[in-house]
Amino acid sequence: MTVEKLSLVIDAGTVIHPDSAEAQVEGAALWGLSMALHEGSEFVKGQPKDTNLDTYTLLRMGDVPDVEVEFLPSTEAPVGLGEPATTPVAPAIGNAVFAATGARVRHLPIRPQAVLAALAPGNSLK
Amino acid sequence: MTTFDLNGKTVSVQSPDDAALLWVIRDELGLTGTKFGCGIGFCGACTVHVEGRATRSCITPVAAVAGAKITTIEGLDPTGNHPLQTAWLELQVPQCGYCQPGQIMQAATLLKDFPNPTDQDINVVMAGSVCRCMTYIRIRKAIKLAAARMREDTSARGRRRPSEVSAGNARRCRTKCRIGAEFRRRRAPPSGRARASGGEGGVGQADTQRCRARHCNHVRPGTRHANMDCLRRPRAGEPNP
Repeated sequence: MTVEKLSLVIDAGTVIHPDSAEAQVEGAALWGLSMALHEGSEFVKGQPKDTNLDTYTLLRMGDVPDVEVEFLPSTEAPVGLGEPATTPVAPAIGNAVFAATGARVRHLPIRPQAVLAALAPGNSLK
Repeated sequence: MTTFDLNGKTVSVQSPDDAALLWVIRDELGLTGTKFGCGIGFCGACTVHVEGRATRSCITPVAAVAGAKITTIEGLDPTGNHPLQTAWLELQVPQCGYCQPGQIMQAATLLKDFPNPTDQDINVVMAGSVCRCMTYIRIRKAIKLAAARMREDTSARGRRRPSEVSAGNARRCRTKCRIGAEFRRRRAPPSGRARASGGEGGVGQADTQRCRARHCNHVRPGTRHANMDCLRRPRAGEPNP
């Protein structure tokens, strides 16, 4: 599963520092992508399974897709934009997977195995 | 006691031989630009140059660098104006900033090896440097900006000889290890001797060997480095490079 491009449109009210705002949104969106496809861990007998980066996989340079960021013109009061771009990324990818394959995946990270399992005969796709 | 060259000055340190170079640099020598990240060579925050090659100082015993030339972020440029540093500032790359000294040190060797890096070159060489703020997009931009300026600078001064350009591959590995020498020989520009000694098949083999030599931290596109094999710890029973 590869994400080729992320397009983000943000309404953050008046954007005070456009360059910094863009950096925040880029970082937030890639964080969302990292959680959606690359990260995820579990507890085994009450202990975290992954305790360092040898087994915990996060997004690295080569996993970065094209990212397009746009701010809606606004004269409203400025609001936060550090995190809002994180949360919609995984749902957008989940919807893209559904649109492409018909498989509904509802857990993160979205692994290819989960998509295949959702597509297996006998599984309800809805 | 271990003696080495740090940012152009000879230093002698009292730390035990197996102390990580990172902690010697930070605690004993007081240069805190080099950061501790994962402690196992998987994140790149501790990257310094050993004889000009990017090296993970957290997994490098200080005894291993006796007599070597070490450069940290503090010594990359005497005035802090390395083209990468100015590009980093100009494009406002850092967010929290913690990984950035390591990113810059890694990028500096990238530009030595690939004066005009492709996206793939950047992906592969920078794969070992993690940024939790996900500033990767700007890191890539800044590397390209610095590369463009360094190329202009070099051509303006006419220092770059055509033979250096064509021998770019051969100059990549400057470490003194045996595998490095082998790599250098195999990557030399095609000559009668090089072709006779193995050709492309030989290159592939050398790449694999090279990449497993974790202490050299050498990377090339299309090799095992893309899988991070070169950065992972050997599994039980595997030979430790």
